[in-house]
Amino acid sequence: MTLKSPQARAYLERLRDLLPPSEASRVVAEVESLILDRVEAEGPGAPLEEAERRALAHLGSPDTLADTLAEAPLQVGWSSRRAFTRWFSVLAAGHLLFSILLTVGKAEVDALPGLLGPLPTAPWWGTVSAALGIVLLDAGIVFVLFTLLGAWGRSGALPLPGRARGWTRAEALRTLVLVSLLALIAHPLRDEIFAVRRGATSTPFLAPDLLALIPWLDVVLGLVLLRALLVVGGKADAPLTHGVDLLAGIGGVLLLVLAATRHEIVRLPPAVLGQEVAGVLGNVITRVVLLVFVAAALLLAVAVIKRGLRLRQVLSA
Amino acid sequence: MPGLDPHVEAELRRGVLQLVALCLLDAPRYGYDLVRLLAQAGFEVEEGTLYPILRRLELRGTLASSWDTGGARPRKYYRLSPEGRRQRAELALAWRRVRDATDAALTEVPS
Repeated sequence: MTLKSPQARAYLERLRDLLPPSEASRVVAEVESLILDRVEAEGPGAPLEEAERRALAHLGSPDTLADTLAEAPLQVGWSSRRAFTRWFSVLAAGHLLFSILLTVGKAEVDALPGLLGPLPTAPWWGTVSAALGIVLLDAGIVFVLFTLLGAWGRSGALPLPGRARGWTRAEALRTLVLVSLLALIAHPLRDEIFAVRRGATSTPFLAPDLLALIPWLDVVLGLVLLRALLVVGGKADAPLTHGVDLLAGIGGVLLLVLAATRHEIVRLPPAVLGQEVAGVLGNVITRVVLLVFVAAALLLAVAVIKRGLRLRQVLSA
Repeated sequence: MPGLDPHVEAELRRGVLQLVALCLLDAPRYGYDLVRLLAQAGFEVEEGTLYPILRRLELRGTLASSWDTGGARPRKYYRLSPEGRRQRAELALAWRRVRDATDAALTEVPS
């Protein structure tokens, strides 16, 4: 006899995420047994999914249960501390990584003024204090977010990065269409879409430095395409599928980091727009694009963590 | 005149829940079985409350546990360990002291 309802499975998944890995499997097995005992006690006539939902009600929320299982919860709930640490780690690590890449790439301007830019390279204590400043800034940002969300009673709005779930066949088909569209935009339509037009003249404005990354994009799209094909082929939960998914995620993060650290992203033609307009517009577009790249890279980094956890689970099973 | 707040009695019962559970664990019992027996004894308790208690008692060595894999599915059984028997005796003594002190105080109250 195993659990039937998606709610019960989601409950155990959430509980597993909240517990220390060394204890998670054992506790989850015991809680699953408790649920099944309660379901069994209702007799064979009761619809299983309904009975499981009622059994879950007797356990309380997974967050509260995990909190109660912690030996000595202090002022901040154990699950909140865990969520805080995870989000802070992801944010600070991403922030430091981007700053180092911007420094190595000799970026001359901040990607996000006051928040994200190259680190000073001399003197050495300037580099150290800038890195420390990043850590403190990120801790402050996460703390303020948690405080606000906690005050609004919406602490669940920052869910823990748990395991990624697999795609359904419909999602894989939608991805196939999306990948085809992106490939079309990156290749035959690129110079039509990303161009400044005046009269009959059309001047592409993406910088050669950025266009040099197109082969990388092709590799990432290829991996996403392969994953979608594997899911459509009925291998949604195969280790190969999750491995390809993880590789695509890592490739995507690297691609976005590389894109965000290019010396030049757009090159607007001064002959068409005028020197001043081309300069100002180029600067604005660069900032917006950098912001998008950085946000996308951070979100994708969280997704990569989830995919890694999922792959680990599949391999251990 | 309003009656007794039910939460007060629930709190009193929660205070002795651990002792009552230990009294029921001379024989091996699984979690839901214990929930049912506690309810019959007048101690309604949810699995979400009892399970962390059982786990804590197990980690402290008060309870021993084993998985029975002979049935349709594995089931975890808890029973009192030798150390648990000693702890239960101490807890029972403590409970009797509290009960006697409370009774003594109540005898002073005019009915």
